[in-house]
Amino acid sequence: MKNKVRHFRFLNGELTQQELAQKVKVTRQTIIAIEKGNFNPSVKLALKISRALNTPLEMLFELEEEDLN
Amino acid sequence: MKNKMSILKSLWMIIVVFLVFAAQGLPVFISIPFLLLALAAPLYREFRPKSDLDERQLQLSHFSSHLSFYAYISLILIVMILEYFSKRENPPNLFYMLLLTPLTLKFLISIFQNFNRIQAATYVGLFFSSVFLLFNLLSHNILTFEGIIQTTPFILLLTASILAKKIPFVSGLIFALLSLISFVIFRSNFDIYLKILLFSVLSLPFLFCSFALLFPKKEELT
Repeated sequence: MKNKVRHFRFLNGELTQQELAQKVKVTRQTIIAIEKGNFNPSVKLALKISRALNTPLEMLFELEEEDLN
Repeated sequence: MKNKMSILKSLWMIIVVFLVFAAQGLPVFISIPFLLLALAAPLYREFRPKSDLDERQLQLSHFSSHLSFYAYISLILIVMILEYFSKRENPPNLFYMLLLTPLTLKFLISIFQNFNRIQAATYVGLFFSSVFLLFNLLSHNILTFEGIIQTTPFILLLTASILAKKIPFVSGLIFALLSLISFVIFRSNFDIYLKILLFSVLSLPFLFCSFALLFPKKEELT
C-alpha cells in the first residue's frame, strides 16, 4: 500500500515524526515504518493519522495494483 | 519514553535468568514463587486492556513469539530423536509433555479465537474425540467387553460434538462430566509428566468445549 504520510506531515507545519507519533499515540519507529511502506496501519490508526494531518484518508493511503489481486 | 518503558519491561528476561541462578541455592518454596512472578509479568502485559505497546510493536512481539515457539518445538523434537538413537528406547514422558502440551494449547487458543464458542467447541470436540476413538479402535479389540468399555466414552464425546449445535447445554454437560472423570482417573497411578500430558491433551480440550457450550454468547443460540 502506498501512502503520502510524509508529504502531508510536511504540509502540516512541518510536523516531525516524533510529533506525529505523539499525536496518534504510537512510537516514532511505527511512523517511520508506515512512511517507508514497511507497515500497514490498522483502520483505527490510519483514521487517527488522517485526523492528525487534517487530510482525508483516501488522500493519505492508496491501494497498489498488487493489493487488489 | 514509550520505547524506554518497553525496553525496561523487556528486561524481565534478564530477571528470570538471574532468578534461575539465584534460586539454585534457595529452598523450592521461595524460588518457585519468584520464578512464577517473573513469568507472570509478560502474561499480564499481554492481557491487560491498555497495552503500553503500539500495534506495530504488538505485531512484532507476536511474530517473534510465534517463531520462538516453533524453534522450541523443533528443539524438543531434535532432543527426542537424539534420545531415541542414544538409548534405543522411547524418550521419557517428560519430552512428550513438553512437546504436546504447548501444541495442544496453541491449537485450542487458535480455534477459540477464530470461531464462535459453539462452532469452536464442535470442531475441537470432533477432532479430539475422533483421534482418541481411532486410537482406541486400532489398539483395542472392540469385540471384547474391555474394548467396548474403553471405546464408549469417545463415542459419547463424538456424539456430543455432532449434536453440540442443536443441544449445546446437554453436550456441554457431557464434555464437563467426561473431562472431570478423566481428570480424576489421571490424578493417580501416573508420573507427574504423564499426568500433565494426559490432562492437557484429554481433559483440557473437553473442559474448553464444556465452558464454551455451557456459556455461549446469546447471539449464538438464535
